[in-house]
Amino acid sequence: MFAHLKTAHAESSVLVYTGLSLGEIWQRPGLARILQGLGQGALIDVLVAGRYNQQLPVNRGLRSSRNQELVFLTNRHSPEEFEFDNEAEAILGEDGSVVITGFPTAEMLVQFGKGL
Amino acid sequence: MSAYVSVDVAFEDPEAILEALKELGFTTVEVHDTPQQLMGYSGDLRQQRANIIVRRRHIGHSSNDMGFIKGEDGKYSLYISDYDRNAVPGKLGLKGYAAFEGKLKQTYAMSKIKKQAAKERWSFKMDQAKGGKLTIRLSKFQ
Repeated sequence: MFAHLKTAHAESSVLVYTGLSLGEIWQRPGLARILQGLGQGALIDVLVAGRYNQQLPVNRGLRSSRNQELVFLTNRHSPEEFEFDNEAEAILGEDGSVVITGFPTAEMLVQFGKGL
Repeated sequence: MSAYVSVDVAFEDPEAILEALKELGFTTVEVHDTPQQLMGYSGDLRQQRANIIVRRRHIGHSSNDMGFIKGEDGKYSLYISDYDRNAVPGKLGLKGYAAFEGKLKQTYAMSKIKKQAAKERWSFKMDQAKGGKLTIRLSKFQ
């Protein structure tokens, strides 16, 4: 799938979230090969690795908790690009539906998880 | 982490209910700790009771009172007469009761998010999109 994305959508970047830590990925040969790109260059540009830890919330950028690692596997992006304030969108439909998208902070998710 | 979360809307916050009613044009509203009887269009007392009441004179010429009653679970339910299920949406320029209920929930959710944003010190910016959809941008600066 990643190889297909890289060839069919070469102009797009591939960013992957995984609950596995980098160490856990390297212990699994199949996954490690994806990171190494099977000799064709990395198939993933940016990897966010590690489980969300609600004791270590962070409200900035792509990471949700401080233990998560932002790994740059190609030169396509730099860490500075991902240093942004979290912003979420609440989309309120005329039918009374509410959907939250974007990058809510951990506390926003907790609040909205309780319902409105 | 990028989110796509569907949020349940239930009428639990009386302040947000009042704000929603105000947004819809019902500015004179009674609030009671103990539910009070609703009145019909001729001034007759109805069996239904409510904690938050919009009296009939503030709705329309032939209307009955409408109101929200608080349940044991803390959630409020709307009581609106059969007549006003048609009349109230029409007064607000909405087509049918489902549209009114949706609009009420949408306005309530907007009030609730606005209140939460103030409490949690999130920045709050609202856009009205075409078709009546509301988009609220929320962020927390570090």
